[in-house]
Amino acid sequence: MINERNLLIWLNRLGGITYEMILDFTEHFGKLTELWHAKEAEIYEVLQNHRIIADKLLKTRNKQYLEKVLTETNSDAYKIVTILDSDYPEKLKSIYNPPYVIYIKGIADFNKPLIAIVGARKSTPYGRWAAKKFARELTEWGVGVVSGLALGIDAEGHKGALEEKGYTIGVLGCGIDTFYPSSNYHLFKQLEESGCIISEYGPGIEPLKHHFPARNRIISGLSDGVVVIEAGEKSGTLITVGFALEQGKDVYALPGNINNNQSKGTNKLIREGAKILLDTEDIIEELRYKYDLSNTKKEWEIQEMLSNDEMRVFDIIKRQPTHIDVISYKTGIGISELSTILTILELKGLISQLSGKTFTADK
Amino acid sequence: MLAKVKTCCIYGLLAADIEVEVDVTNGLPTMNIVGLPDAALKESKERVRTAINNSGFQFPLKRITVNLSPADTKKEGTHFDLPIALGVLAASGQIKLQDFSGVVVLGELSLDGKVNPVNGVLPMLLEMYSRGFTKVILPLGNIEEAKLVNGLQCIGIKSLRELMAFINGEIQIEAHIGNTIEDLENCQFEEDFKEVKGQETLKRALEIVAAGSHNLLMVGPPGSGKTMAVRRLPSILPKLIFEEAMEITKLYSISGLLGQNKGLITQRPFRAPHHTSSMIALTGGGRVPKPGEVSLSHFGVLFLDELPEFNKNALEVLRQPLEDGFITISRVNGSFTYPAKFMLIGSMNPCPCGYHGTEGGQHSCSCTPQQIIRYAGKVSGPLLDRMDIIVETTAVSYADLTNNKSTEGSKEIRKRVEIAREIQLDRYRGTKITFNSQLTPSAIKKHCKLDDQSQQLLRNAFEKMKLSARAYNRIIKITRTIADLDESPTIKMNHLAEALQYRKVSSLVRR
Repeated sequence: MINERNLLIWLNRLGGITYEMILDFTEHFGKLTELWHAKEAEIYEVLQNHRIIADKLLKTRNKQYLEKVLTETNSDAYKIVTILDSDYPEKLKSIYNPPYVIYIKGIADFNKPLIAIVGARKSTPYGRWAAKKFARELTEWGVGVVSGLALGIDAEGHKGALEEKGYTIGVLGCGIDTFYPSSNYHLFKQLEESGCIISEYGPGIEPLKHHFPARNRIISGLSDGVVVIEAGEKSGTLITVGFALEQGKDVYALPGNINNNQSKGTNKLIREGAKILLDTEDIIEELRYKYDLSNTKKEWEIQEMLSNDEMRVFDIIKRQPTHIDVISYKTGIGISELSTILTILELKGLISQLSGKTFTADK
Repeated sequence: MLAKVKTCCIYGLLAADIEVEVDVTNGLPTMNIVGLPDAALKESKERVRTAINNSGFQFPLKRITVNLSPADTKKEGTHFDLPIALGVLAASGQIKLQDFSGVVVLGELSLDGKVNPVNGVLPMLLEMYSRGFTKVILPLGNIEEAKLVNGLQCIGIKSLRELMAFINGEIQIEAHIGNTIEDLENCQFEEDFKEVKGQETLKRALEIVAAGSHNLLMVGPPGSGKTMAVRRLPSILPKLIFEEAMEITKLYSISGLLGQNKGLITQRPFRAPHHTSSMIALTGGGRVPKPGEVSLSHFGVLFLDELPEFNKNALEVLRQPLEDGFITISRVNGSFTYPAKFMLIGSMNPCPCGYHGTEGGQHSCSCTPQQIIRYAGKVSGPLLDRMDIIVETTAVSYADLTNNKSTEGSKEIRKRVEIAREIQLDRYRGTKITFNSQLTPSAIKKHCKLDDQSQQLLRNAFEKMKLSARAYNRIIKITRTIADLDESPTIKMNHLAEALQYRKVSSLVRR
């Protein structure tokens, strides 16, 4: 079965063939099926700087091998999406050197707002706390969390999203059927269940060193912004930042103690102009330009915990800061009863008092 | 010949009985008054001589000695004129005083023999009656006041000549028997809360302070209706009970503020001294101390408009009476204690220009931060601490608060206040407490029990709102009043929640 899609899977399986080379092929041959039948000399000409890859390509250019590749990669546990398919993530198409084949486990939902939370594997308690906190809060706003399923910050980011029953995507630097690091096995299983795991590496492929920087371009590519929680001065995380900047994504850096090696990278990023991350709002404000966001979890929760009258009062305050007399006028609730309601709302942490009996909603 | 007439003298709110002894003997015509009289009393002899002559009697051209016994206490007042004149006439044999041992005589004479009303009649007669004097001869202008002494026979006279005719049996003057008035009538007020549009929070706060006699501080920009609302406070104050009315009347009587032909004061006092008032004006004072504004607003309202404009020292002296309910003034003539259970209503702007905190409105504040801090600092922390309720008013644009919303009138509000007052009187029967504001910590424990839900709320509030331990009692007292307004014997969660709304807001008032 020789078609464009299958040939892409075959080329991906060979390893080392970038999307740029694919573009060269299509430029040269028009279609990949032409490549299948092309003369050796022509292929050597297109891949003149990559002789080893060309050798490999020619050695495997036969039906038996293609058949083998297709059976190897075929599984019910995941699906394969190529850049030619309609369900290929839009966001990845626009990046430099996109993965032309991705293997997907779990629920594919790439069009929602996504934020990458990345950081070093070697992390401090502060970093782990922050990763989880921001992941949770982003989830409350309906934003998905993208990370690399590594130890440390990555894991905390995924965990935060999962705790709030949110959506999270883990991008692997190894074969889709590999659990690496194995201590994250449990997390992998949870992501398969309620999130998504993707990789450009087919089954059986080892977690090689150079895979990880490469998968970072997918992490940033899938996301609308990249949050750097902790990074040392020469951390791999900074590679992700490089990709993000190249792809035109927002980079947020969490400020840290200047004496802490784990924060030296992020602090430096701030100095170089990354957005300083103090509050989830910082991210939400940017995302609002692209998406219609509302704090779904909070609204639902608020509805749960408020009585009808309390909800009515809260609705008015939510729109704009309002004076107590005006609230009373609009709702028809008497001052004495209204004062009671306002105190309760204050204690529930939903509103606070500005000067002069004017109340405002807390986010 | 010697004659003796009984009269009395006032010391603060207490009275001492004084015997006026007049001796007329042969000698150079002269008149001496001994027994530590003050200047007004020394001049009495001129009035007495002229009045006697102008009334058609003979002023004896003899040596006249008047002794005011006991002779070692200082005496003041013009009400000695009449007893001295009576003594002179009796000592010179122009009249016979029979059965005068139980009779108190007081009154001021004018030169034509007319008897003028005097100050301090009520407290003097109350004291004299309790000492066994059952009859009083006094100026007709003071008769309404004297009639408040239950059981006292009061004979009001217009002139010295009339008095002489009465003693000689030529005319009859009916004696009024004093009795207490149990049910005090309601007063009519020209100003009504109906006229106050908007400011519902402030109105509710005023209702609460009226019911429980709490202190209130209003902070807000000029023209937000603070003064207008407070001017209507008297119209919702609970009516006086007789004992309260008597105490107020006594204070007004000795201050000479009662006015002629006025009896019992039936309206709670509302005193609004100007901010140039001195410390002495507020506390009371003088060589022989008279009650000041704090005492004149006893059982009523002391309204200090533009609080920070007051002299700082003048404000600080309010602290002790606010705490104790009385004020003791010591002077060379002795120590005088006047009651001062008043509710303090203060109003102030948030800053010198008045518009701080209303940014975004029609005006904006033009003060420097230093000015604002200095202005708020004029009201000291301890004084702020004694403010039970702090309400911030805002000049809300009422374009959308159309007039068709019916606002409550004073009558409806007063009805609730009266009920709350009844409940309080009932609960504190047999104790010294008359209003929730006077609750002591031990009384709070006894009368203000919180249910579990409220306890929980209070605990939350203390953590979340960062309330001080000192704020606790204040909040509980207000909660008690709110519960009383709701006619609820127990304190419920909603009462507490409302009370928490009236706590201090640090953004405006420094502390």
